[in-house]
Amino acid sequence: MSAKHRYSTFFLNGICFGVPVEKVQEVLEFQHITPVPLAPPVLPGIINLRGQILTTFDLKTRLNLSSSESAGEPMMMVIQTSEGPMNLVVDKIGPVLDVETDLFERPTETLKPSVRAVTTHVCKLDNQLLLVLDTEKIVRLPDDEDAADVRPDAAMQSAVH
Amino acid sequence: MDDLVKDFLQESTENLDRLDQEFVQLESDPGNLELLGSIFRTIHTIKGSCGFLGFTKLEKLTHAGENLLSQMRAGELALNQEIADHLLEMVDAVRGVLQEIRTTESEGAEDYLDLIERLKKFLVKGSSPGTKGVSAQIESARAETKPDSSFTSAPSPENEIKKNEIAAAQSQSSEAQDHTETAASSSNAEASRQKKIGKSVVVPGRIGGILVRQGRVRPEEIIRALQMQEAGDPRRLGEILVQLGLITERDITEVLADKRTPDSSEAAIRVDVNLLEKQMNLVSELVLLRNRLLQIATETNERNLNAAVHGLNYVTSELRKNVMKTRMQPISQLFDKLPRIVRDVSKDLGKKIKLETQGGDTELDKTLLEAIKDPVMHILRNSMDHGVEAPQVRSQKGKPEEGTIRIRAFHEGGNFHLEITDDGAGIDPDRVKQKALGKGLITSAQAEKMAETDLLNLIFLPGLSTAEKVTNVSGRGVGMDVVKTNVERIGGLTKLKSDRNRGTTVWLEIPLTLATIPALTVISGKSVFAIPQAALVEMIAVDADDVHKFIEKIDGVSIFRFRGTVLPLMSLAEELKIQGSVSSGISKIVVVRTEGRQIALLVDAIRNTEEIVIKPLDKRFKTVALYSGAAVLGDGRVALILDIAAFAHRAGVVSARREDSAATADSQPRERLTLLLLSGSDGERLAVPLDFVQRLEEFSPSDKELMGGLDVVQYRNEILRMVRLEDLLENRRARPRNPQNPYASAPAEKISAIVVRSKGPRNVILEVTRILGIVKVEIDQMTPPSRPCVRGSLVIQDRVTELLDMPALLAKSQAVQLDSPLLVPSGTEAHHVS
Repeated sequence: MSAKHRYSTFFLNGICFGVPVEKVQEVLEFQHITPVPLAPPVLPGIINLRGQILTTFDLKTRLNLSSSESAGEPMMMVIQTSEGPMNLVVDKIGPVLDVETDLFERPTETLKPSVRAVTTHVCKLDNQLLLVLDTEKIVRLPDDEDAADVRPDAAMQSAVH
Repeated sequence: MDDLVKDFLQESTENLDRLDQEFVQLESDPGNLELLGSIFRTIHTIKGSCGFLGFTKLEKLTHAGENLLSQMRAGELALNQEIADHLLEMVDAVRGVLQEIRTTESEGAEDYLDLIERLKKFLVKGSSPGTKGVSAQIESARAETKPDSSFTSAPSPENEIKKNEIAAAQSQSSEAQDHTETAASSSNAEASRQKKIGKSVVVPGRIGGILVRQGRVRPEEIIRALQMQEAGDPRRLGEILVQLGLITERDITEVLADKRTPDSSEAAIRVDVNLLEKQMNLVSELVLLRNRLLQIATETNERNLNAAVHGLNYVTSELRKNVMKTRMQPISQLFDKLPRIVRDVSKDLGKKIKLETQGGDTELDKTLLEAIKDPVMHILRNSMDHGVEAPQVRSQKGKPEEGTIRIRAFHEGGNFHLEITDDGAGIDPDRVKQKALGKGLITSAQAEKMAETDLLNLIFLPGLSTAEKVTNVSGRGVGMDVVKTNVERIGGLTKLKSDRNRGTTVWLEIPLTLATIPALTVISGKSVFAIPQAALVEMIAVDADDVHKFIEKIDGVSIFRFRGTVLPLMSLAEELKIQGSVSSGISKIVVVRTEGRQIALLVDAIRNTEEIVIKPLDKRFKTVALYSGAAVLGDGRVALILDIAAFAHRAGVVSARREDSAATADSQPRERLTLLLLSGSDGERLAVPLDFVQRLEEFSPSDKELMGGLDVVQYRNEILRMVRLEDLLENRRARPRNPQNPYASAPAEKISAIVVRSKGPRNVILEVTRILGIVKVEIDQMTPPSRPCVRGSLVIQDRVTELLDMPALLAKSQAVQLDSPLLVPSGTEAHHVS
């Protein structure tokens, strides 16, 4: 029997993403983000989490996904990184999933580069794909983010479905 | 006391405490080589330090112990209780010597030769331990009853600290404990040995020991008293001594008072800095929570809640104060490192440099101390490298060959100040200017207008400092921008003053603590921003009607006229591209300063001032570079803290008036004035200090009305008296004028006028012939006045100009107004009235 890994999942534009459950500090209802004027769009601002200032990432912008599809109030997921806790804005929080290592696959070439760059592996689940993201890479912002990726969002959609 | 010795004492004391535990542990587990190794190393370390510091007695003592331990480690000797006893005795003896060093800075008279001999006897080469054991025990017992040795051993600090606490809380019981303990320990060797293993023995800090040390009683007398106690005297040692007439009650009180202020090194504990950091953060959170609670309590107006919150308020403040205190460190920690650097660097440079430091005990938050370390080193190196000249150059200039760098630390205005002065060559402003021009950092037009201090401040610009060449040419500038940035990052200010050939002074002004700072919160759009109070100069609200008088746009740059100065004006909403900024008609302007320069910030609204805790902003936001951090406000909202220095740079402020520049610290009695230049009716030049000028206005002659025989104008819903400047000044030539129509000679359609600030109830409008412009002058000499209401004459722009004495002039105009309501129509010679 192969080892099991536990992932905390969330959705962006209907796509299921996951991060190792031990990296997740907590999940928050959407709360007010204090904007940091002139900061890049991927960083909509900062939040006050019990007196601690957390940098907030718009994960969709970070992964270069279109921001149109968010239905309803987004959610927040606070992850632990080597630089301390960081706050991610996601569409929806999914269940915690146990995945056997058998199901791990390397991220396919067809993934959007902006997504592939931060994806450690893909898990083929019964009814969907789970993209496991590298929390350290998510919060590391590439300098040439805009230049690197020009592929339309549709490509991503077809790639993962 | 030497810091090295202090460190040695503290370190050794800590090590000895561990030894106690380890010996006891080793006794129950004699085969534990790891434990033995650790003990050996500890003793070895102490021995090594002793040799280094010249404590030979201590060295011999520890050496004896070390030999024993060495054999044990090699398996040649097995630990038994007797050896353990002796080793513990040695530990106590070491402790005693350490205490002696701590109080008298010398090892004391006791040399422990007896103990050393006994320790030696345990060595396997010596006689058999069996027969020796008895004599050793006897010797040990004798040693114990010897006053010196019994008073110089110390207990573990845990006990000591506890006892100090108790002493503070219940001095009576503590004293009693002291006495009985002293008695017990001197009773017999066996009891004392047991006590030692149980880690509670007599200490020199006890009353008997102190009395002996201070020479108030002789050791034999203490022994006598102790023997009385042993014989069943229930009284305390002090009481017995008093009764024997050996000491007075006062001796006792003094000694006890002494005893309760524990030696700092003994009462000090080492705490992990991270732990302190965490504690500080928690306290900061607590402060914020308290602030929120205070707000809620005020809103709900619940009596019980209010009372509780006020209690919390008090406790939190005290807690914060105390926690902050734990982080305070004397600047000497930094100073102590400098002489070595000065010595090395000056040797490298072939210069003679003397370092003088002052105020080493001035305290500063630990993190801030760390933060200014590099800047201070930098400035010091700069001073040595580029400031102080080579010896032969110095002697040519008539200076002593040896240069001096003085560093002075002091507290002032709730801030920590550091002043680094050298008596070197100073900075040549012209060279800085040339370099800045060459680098394109300033335009030649800007350069022309720049004052010397402004030029000097150019060396803080990044572009100027990174270039190696500038260093060589301008004499300074390596990393001065880094110095400035580092200092400003911790909320401090950097100032610089330099005199050619006389030297350079750099000032650092730093808040005592970073924990919380007072800040002004302002609103732009929906966001709240915080401006550190330290940067705040003034807040001004300008009516919509007046905006055009205060705010001007020149070449797309907004300018704010403020007290005769012209400040660059930045709209926070525009600069930060904030949506939904609303202007309510009244412009709220916050004047802030950085590096002695001032800028004006236009905001939507001013919220309040509050204590904020600065939280660093993620490095990902560094690209914006306009914020120095973030803060959680009392209501839980988050505010970005504006980096005023960055705003100033963004505004491109290179030269502006320096209100508090180093120039004001200059000893030269020069007066810097901004003057409004006027032309009199005869074309003579007059000047009015701009401080008195509220506005410049133009009126049409028809605006002028008569009221009670006086000229008045309606001005901003007020009726203001209008006086001709000509009429207030005595004109020697008394040019004939037409009294019926005094304005016939001035056929201009507009009357130029100055609204003059007045101390009286109403401002006065001064009618003038022509306004020429504004100049900034440094007044060092003035020709005495030739007529009343004039302070004197000086040359401005190659023209003789009379500087008007505004208070006198105003008084005169008021006199006209009040005393002469029936004055003949204006135009009559005013000096008749006065």
